[in-house]
Amino acid sequence: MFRKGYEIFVRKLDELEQGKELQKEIRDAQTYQRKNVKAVISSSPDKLPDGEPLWVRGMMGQLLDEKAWRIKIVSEV
Amino acid sequence: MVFKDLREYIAALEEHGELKRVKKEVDWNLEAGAITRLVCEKGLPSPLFEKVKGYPGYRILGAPISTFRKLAIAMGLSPETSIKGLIDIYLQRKNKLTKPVIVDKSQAPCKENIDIGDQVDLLKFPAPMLHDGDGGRYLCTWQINVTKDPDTGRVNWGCYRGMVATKNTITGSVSPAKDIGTHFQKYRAKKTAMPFAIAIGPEPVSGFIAGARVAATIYEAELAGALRQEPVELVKCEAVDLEVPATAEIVIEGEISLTETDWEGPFGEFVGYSATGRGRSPVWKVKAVTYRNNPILTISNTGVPVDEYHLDVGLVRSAELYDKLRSEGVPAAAVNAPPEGVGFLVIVSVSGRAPNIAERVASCIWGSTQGTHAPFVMVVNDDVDVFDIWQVIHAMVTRCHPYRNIWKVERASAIPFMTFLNAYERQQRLGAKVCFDCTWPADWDATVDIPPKISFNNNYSKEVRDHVLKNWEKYGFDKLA
Repeated sequence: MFRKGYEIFVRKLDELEQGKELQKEIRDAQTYQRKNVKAVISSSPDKLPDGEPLWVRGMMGQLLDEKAWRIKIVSEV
Repeated sequence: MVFKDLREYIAALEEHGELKRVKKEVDWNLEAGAITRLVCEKGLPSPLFEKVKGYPGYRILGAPISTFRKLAIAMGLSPETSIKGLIDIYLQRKNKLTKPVIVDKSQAPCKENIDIGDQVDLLKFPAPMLHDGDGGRYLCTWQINVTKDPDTGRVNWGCYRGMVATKNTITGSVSPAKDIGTHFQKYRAKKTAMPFAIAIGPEPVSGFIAGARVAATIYEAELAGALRQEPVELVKCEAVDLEVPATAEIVIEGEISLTETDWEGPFGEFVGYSATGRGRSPVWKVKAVTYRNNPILTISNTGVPVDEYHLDVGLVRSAELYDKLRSEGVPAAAVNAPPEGVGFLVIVSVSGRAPNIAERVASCIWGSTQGTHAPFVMVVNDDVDVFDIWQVIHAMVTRCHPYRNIWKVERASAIPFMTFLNAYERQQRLGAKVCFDCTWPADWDATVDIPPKISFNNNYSKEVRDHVLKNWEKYGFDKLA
């Protein structure tokens, strides 16, 4: 019934540079606990097969992509 | 019947078939919110969630006053009371402002449990994730926010959303357009954090009035006392110099930081959209939480009408604007700020015919506390029932000239929730207003220019109407309501 993985709020999808290590605030998609992480992000599950689901939301809360992206957390900041 | 607390009100709702006890386990994560939203959209009984996942001993009451039936019960009236009847009662009672009484802490149920300092953990309570995409878990959606003017000592009650940010902080908007914003600016000038108290789950009239926009000179606790016809009982807070309703289910006390901000929103709002987005808001630092045993968290799931906000508007704005218009000598026959208009629409019927009466009505409304942010005004003759939207639409399309009788004001004060504004206008609070004059022009000859209305009540003689009504069921129809 509920999404798994993480969620992130962005103004536009192109804020998320893919394949590079970024520092972002994300939240757990089930507990909504926030954390700052260094992570690699990809819109393609194939390019980050060991990543976890990342749901990308706009600043109004809407999903900017109906499909989950992938995030691989390198470390918590 | 005056309710001492939320629990007595819940019992009354149940007695009148306006409460549903939900015994099945419900998740605070979207499930309770989705149920409450559907309850609002269908006008159903309020759900009392008795088993919240992960929160044994805690309950949630959804949609506490989401219909006029529930509002009538809250005011101690028959649930069958009409909207017009509710407005009349409000107007009869509102001027008998009744000072609250202070009770000893030992007499205050909200002191049954007290968490101070490091003991505070806001996630002890089942703050729901109400809408998919909200910025977080909103603990404060139907409550009383208490703040005090540092210069005058005047206390204000409001109802402002609050999101749990950490175990001991909340983020919430402190709108400059509201009394809390005025207070905050004064504390900012004094370089002092602003004390606040939040009373969740008060008795219903206090909760209802906190959400209403009344004149800054009126203390909402006194207005609630007037409407209840009995004083509200208040008790002193533990950590701040404020008082809260003694029977509230949960009380949160602390200070709003002048310097620290955190993310807040987005949130599904009363306009029926997630309208204002994610932004930085002041941090509300919590110093103490007190609560009743087995506390009941009240939640209002705002969205498309009708929910608590719209009911506040439907009653208080309608009544206050009627009072305002009459006091200004405007021949208002009735005023309706229909819940479906989300507070942006006011419909006024006027007696008699006078030149430019619609412009006069609109100017008076827009110059008032209640009407400043009601950009749509419709004015009809008093043969139109303003509480019957179909009659209003009929009047508009048959009496409002599409070019001559629509008066537009290009620049006006706005609020960011006005979704018809573009991003720049929302940010700058730059709006517009329009008045639809749906009255017959004053210079039209009543027997030549104004066509006779064709309806059952207008067209047929009393003898014919009485005859038809007397025989209605004999024609084979069901009895008319």
